Amino acid sequence: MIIVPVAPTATVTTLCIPDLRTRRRDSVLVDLVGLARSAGAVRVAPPVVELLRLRERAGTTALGKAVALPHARSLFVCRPLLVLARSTRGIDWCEDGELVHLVMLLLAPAETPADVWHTRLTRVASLARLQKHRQRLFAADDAEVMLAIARDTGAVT
Amino acid sequence: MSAIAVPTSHGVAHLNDLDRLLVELDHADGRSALKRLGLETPGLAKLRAHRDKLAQSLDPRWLHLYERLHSRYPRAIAAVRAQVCTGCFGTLPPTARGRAQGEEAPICQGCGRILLWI
Repeated sequence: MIIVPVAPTATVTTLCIPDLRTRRRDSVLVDLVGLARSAGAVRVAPPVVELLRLRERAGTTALGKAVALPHARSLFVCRPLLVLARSTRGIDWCEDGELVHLVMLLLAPAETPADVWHTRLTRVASLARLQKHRQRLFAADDAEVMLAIARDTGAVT
Repeated sequence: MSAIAVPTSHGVAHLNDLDRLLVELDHADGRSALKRLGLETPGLAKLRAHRDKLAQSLDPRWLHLYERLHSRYPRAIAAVRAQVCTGCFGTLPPTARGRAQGEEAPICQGCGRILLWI
């Protein structure tokens, strides 16, 4: 697995993972939050993982079209972070049976205002809304290309 | 800086995160923002049940303090970053950290929130 940590932008640091190995949703969340912790955006991982799991219990964050957008604001997150993770084999994300091939994990500190939070969520979701963007992301050769696509679409600055 | 005994600040912080999530998912603005993204929240009742279970598992003194503050502030707990309370953005005195490491729960003198050093 190649991970390219990218310099923090004005608002959101972005990590790109071209090929996730884990296939179960909860394991993916553990792995991604672990990476976020390694990147210095999360101070304590277990409560953030638990919050993400609870968010899934309230309603799946799968957007359809093989994309999921797990997200959380937490006291244990110290700076905003987006993790774009691709899985060629697919992840069993929710009960509808559709596999997820692109996970966009968005984390933010608890003090992030609701309007800023929703704007970020919308912006990140827009990355996967259009088929051409999704196809480019799925076809990207490596993490740097994935990040370039995310920047092109305006999902990250 | 007032104080009470501290068994687990992380448990109460997690409860605060969960309460904020519940508010977000329950609030009309939050719900409609998520709906525009195609996200529904049919499992809110399960989340509330989990919240109650989590609250019961906490030390009653912590829970009482938290509930009292939570009735005043949506964010009853504030993380401390660079010696600043993220609730009121007031700079904390250098002695605040030492007290937090003791057996007392640190309260911000500026806003009254529970401080969380992580």
